[in-house]
Amino acid sequence: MATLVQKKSPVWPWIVMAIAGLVTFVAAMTVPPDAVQGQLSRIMYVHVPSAWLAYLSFGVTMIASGIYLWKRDLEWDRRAHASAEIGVFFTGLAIALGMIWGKSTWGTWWTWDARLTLTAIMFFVYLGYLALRRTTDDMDARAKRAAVMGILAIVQIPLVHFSVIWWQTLHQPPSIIKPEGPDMDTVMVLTLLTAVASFTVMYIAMMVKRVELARLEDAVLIAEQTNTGPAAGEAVVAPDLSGGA
Amino acid sequence: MDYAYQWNWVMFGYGVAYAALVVFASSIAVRVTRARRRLGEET
Repeated sequence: MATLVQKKSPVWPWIVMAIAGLVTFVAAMTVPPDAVQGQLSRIMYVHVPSAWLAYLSFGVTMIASGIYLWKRDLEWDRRAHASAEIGVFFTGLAIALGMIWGKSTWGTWWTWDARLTLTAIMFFVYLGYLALRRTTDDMDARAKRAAVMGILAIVQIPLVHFSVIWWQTLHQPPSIIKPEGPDMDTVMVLTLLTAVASFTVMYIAMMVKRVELARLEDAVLIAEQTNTGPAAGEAVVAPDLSGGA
Repeated sequence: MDYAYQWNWVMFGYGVAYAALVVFASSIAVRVTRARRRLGEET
């Protein structure tokens, strides 16, 4: 258990997260507005990085799950778990920001469009992954089940990403990663890339803290399972049948 | 194309995003503190 618990909890990830958030905010607020959408385009600089982090997080969960199944090292299971929780958070954030952007540009909070629907399904599937992890206290069984689901669930990422190409959607098709190159102004592309890079740094800092938490949670579980405190019934004394003789 | 209502939506979006980030980061910090405290009690 000693190896699971660091003596000091690192503070630098909180500072890195704050700086990354500040860099994104300053970049998004100083870039010129879009010619068509005006100021509303600024929502893109947090919506797109959130969606990117959802992909990245679930990709890391898949890779860490695969390595766990190969090496049976619980540290990889903790990394998969940490990344999945961060991914669920950023998927929810991408949906919320997309709804705000949708209401202000499309005039509706929600529509059953392929991209939106598949993203919502992905959100609930990974919530299911987190729920699955709570079904047992057996760390090896939990890690094995979660790893299988962490690998299988990745199939949703290409479905979500290419849904705007495969189906007719209200959601716009890709603006940057496309064969003919980005169809955005250079300063907007650079600002978006800055926001994506800042969010990626934020993800790394979050992972450091979330993996620390996963180690601590496992250490608590091990301590509870090995703690041989008084068992129920120990206080019951056998009746004296000698008749007081 | 520079309407005040657009800034209201932008600020609403950023408000939601940054508030959510602070809440999520705080939840990790609180759980780390609680787990450390529990470990201190267990050992």
